[in-house]
Amino acid sequence: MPEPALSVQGVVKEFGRGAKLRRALDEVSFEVSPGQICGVLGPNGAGKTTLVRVCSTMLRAERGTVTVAGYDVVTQTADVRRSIGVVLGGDRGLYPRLTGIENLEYWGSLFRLRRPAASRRAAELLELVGLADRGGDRVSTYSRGMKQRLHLARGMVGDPRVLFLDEPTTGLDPIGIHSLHEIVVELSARGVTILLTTHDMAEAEALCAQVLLVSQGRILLRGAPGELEIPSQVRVSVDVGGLSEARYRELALLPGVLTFSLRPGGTARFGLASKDHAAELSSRAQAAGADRLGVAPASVEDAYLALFDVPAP
Amino acid sequence: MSVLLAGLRVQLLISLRRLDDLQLLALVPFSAVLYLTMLAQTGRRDLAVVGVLASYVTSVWSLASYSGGDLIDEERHAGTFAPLLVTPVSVARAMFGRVLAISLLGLVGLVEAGVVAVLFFHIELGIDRPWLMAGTVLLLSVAMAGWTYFFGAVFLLAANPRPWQNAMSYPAFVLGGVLAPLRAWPLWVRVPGRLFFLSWVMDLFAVATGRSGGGVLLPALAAGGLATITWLLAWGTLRWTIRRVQATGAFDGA
Repeated sequence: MPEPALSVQGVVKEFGRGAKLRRALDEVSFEVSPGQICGVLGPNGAGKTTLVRVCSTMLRAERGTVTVAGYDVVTQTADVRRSIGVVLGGDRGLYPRLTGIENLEYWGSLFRLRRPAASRRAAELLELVGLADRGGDRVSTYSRGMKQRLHLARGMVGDPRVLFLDEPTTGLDPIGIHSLHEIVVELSARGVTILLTTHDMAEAEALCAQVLLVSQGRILLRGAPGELEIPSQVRVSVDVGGLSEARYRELALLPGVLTFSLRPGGTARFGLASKDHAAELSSRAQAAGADRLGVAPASVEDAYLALFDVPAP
Repeated sequence: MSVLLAGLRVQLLISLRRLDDLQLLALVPFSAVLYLTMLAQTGRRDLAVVGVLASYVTSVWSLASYSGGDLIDEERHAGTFAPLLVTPVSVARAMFGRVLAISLLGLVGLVEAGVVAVLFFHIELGIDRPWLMAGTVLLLSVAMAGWTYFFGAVFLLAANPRPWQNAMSYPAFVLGGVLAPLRAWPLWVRVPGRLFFLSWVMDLFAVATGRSGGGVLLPALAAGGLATITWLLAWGTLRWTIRRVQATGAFDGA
């Protein structure tokens, strides 16, 4: 069995003192294999960003050990930093007055690339993220999606073995998200191990070989997206479209509906206890005039909704 | 590309595209006109070089205080500070070229003030010892880069650094003997002034421009020593500040 690219064992991270002491990570343990994309899923304040910061040497944990690419984050910090790339959410993390090329060349120099090598690397990465034709323009003229793609390129400038992506698609439109996902998959195919934090369940399902569901600094659930053992009664999910919100809420009152969420595009998702309950809800929805109906085994989203207490009304 | 050269290049590119820095440089001809007019009106055109140097030094100080002082805080707000922390080079090293660039940008102020003196006041600026002048400019640039670091680290902790930036300027100019030689001030100004590197740098400028026949060794050693202390203080403050930011997790200045 290959050595994990990322190993986190018993990590505890606290902020504040005395009465204001807050535990952001509480005995967190997991491993990520080389080349794997691992999704860390959870609501705001769950500890996702703190986890990335501890793994990337930005923060030091109170307890526990973290090794990245085989190096310990505390005793071999310099080796870890040479092996990682970090992309912290949103479109920040760039110098807006510099061009895309100038940004990447500068960050390349911080990874000890000499000018010609930094320029070559910048050109390669701009090509990878689809910005080759805009590399000479100032970043301040980029759209949000372009900035986030450049941000990803910045994270790759040191040719990392492990890449930390903290909510990289925040604020992007669907096309931008799709474009970024393609790049992430491409990087994974090249052997880069990726730890991706997100609160987008569909993103985790689409990209990740392993998903960790975290809340209040603890891992509540882990596994492959299709094999998560959901510790709730939700076994089947039903997506319904074409009804009013009031009608969805009426359906959510049916027996066996355990979770309910309104989704973009005027649809709703119901988490149900059994196939029989799903069949009953489906027939009621059809009778009410639903124009879209999808029944599937419970997914990451259902686990998320069940775990984070999003019950039916 | 070495980290130093990359930092120099990037900061010069950023500063030359940023209105704040250009504004500071745009003010230099006005301060030069002010100082030179005062000297001309009082019949001391022989001291024109003092007016030129005062304009230069005040512009270097302003760049260090305002642009340099905001440097790390701006990194934090731009979201670049956190990624910077986890690159293979230290923040201090990554920033060295950048603070040096801000100091060296002050040379534009020296040229501006000199041009104002020659073109508008028809004053010939005599520099008796060009190499000493060049060395002193370099010493000033490196020492001010240390102050820039220090400002950057300290202002990172201040909720609003602007009052500090404004309040420090004139005491620094007085203690540094920038606007008038330190010997012109009372003893209670002269004593603390000698603990400030700028006063020794101004002595070196006086020797280089032939306004003083004093020796070079003592002011050079004193300026160099105090600049070194400034650097050590700045690095220590920066390390402490980074540890504090790491403890609180406030990387992005939110």
